[in-house]
Amino acid sequence: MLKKVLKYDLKSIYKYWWIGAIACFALSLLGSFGISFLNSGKEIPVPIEIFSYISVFLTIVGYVAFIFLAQVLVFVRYYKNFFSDEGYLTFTLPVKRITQLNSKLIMGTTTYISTFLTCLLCGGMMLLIGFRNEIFTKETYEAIIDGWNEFKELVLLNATALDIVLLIIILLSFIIIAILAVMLSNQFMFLCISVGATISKKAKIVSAIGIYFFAGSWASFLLSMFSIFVSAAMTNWILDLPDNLFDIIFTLIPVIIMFFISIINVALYAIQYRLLDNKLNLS
Amino acid sequence: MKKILSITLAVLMLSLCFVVTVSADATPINTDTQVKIATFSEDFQNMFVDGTMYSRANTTNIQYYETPVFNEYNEEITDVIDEAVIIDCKLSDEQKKTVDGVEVIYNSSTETIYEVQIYYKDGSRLFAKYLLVDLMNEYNKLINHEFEEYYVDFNWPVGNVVALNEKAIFNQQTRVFDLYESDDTFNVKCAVKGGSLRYSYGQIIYIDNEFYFYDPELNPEAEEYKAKTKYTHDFESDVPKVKLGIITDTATKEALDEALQKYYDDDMGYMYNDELLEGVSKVFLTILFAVIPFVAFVAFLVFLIKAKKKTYKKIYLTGCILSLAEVAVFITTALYLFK
Repeated sequence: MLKKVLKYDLKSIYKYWWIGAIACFALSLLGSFGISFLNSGKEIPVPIEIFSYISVFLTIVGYVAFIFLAQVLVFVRYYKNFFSDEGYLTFTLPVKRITQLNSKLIMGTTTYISTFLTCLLCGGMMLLIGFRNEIFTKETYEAIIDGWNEFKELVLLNATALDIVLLIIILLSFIIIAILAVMLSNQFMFLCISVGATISKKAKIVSAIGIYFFAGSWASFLLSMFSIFVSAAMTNWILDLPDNLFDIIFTLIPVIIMFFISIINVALYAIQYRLLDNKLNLS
Repeated sequence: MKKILSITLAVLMLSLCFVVTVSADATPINTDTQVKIATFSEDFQNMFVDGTMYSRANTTNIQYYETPVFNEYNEEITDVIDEAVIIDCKLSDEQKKTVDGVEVIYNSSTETIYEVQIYYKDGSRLFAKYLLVDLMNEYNKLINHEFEEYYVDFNWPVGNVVALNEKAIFNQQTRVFDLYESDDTFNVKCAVKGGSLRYSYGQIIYIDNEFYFYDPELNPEAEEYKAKTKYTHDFESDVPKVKLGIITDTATKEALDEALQKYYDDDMGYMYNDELLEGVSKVFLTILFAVIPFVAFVAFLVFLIKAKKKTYKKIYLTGCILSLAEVAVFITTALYLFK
């Protein structure tokens, strides 16, 4: 049942999402020509110079707008599907609430990841076209070959089995942390909507936005405290480790962060499900 | 249920493997070493008196150094690092008993020697920096702290004063001029007294095979040690003798660490090596990654016991497993990270 629900959720998102993606791509092409003109080193007429600057500016604005669009689409889908008149239909379907919730989470995570990848690809394409004269040179090719050889010598030939295992754990941890962070962002938004809809009957969206910004400010405050207090001390502690422990401890740190984000995800998920199961009042 | 149990088991086994691996790799550090003295007088000094100030016994390849060298005004000399020539030095039979080899790095553009590396037979190494300015009789010393702590005794023909202060040590990773400002409790000073130039940053005492540094302005009581000195100067040849000593013990090492800490606290601001901030960070991290997950574990466990629906049980059980794994991994890491 999850596949069917997910199919409709994704359809409702990508119905509008692809427009943003095409716009992002088109703006990137425009921006790449702008960069080419500015980077050409030749004298260009003033109107073309202004046009180039505007095109680059518009490209950046386009990326931000595209990311914002993706967030709004997810937000609107969740709210409409659960807390508006459409919610009556949603919860009469022969689908468990947890399936509905899982579908929204997967939809949100997939949308954010695909948005990020699209921006990355479009941005990469823009830079490759804009700086093609500097990038596609013999020196760059040689630098890549040298870098690969150095990497091969450092990692592949001299690494022990433990080194490779630790490296794989670190890489997997970072990938999982990225996915969990996106899920956390979605869950946070969904929870704010759910709490807003639960506590306020008339101004649900306003309450949701208010709770989102309030909680978001506290989260930012905690993160900045973390950076101020911990980062300098952590650097000292890690550098003071003996060589035989450095690799293992360095590997365990992302694992700790991964578990921590997972715990927050599960806690938010539990609260979210409880709200949907018990507190949802569509009358 | 079976899936959840197998996942639980896998996570616990993984955590256990980490704990075992980390525990097996932990080895104690031994800080006590023996006192060693290597004499290196005549031949070393002969390098400086071969017609000019230095002898070129063997000129080898040119190398570039980026380590800063300072003049008598505590200004970094940038032209010193342009070119350097390594000179191989001859060792006497006496020196060959303890010393494996010596390298003197000489700057051909300014005609100064500014680096000496001495390789001892036991594998340790002394790395000392000297600066000669204007064919003068002044040396500024910096000592490498890579393997062990060192003293460098230095005597000048004019105004050769030896004074001593207890447990004087060198902060080998900082410059001499900076060390002069250090708290005299740790006696992190360099003793340099030039001949005609008369730059004085302190004094050197040699007693019972140990060398100490002293600043007469800060340590007036060290005058009494002058009478005890065993170090003599060869006035006939008028050649300053250099004695190199290697000495380490736990007390000196601790004193050096304290001096380093104080130096960085004073110079680098409150954020660097600050005990209070480190303490706050430890508390913050412990609350964030141990206390909160443990509280979450207890909460999940309580809800798990009270839950009636299967879905809730699955969610709370997942929460319990993750919280427990988090606490286990954090405690394992913190044992080695928080010292």
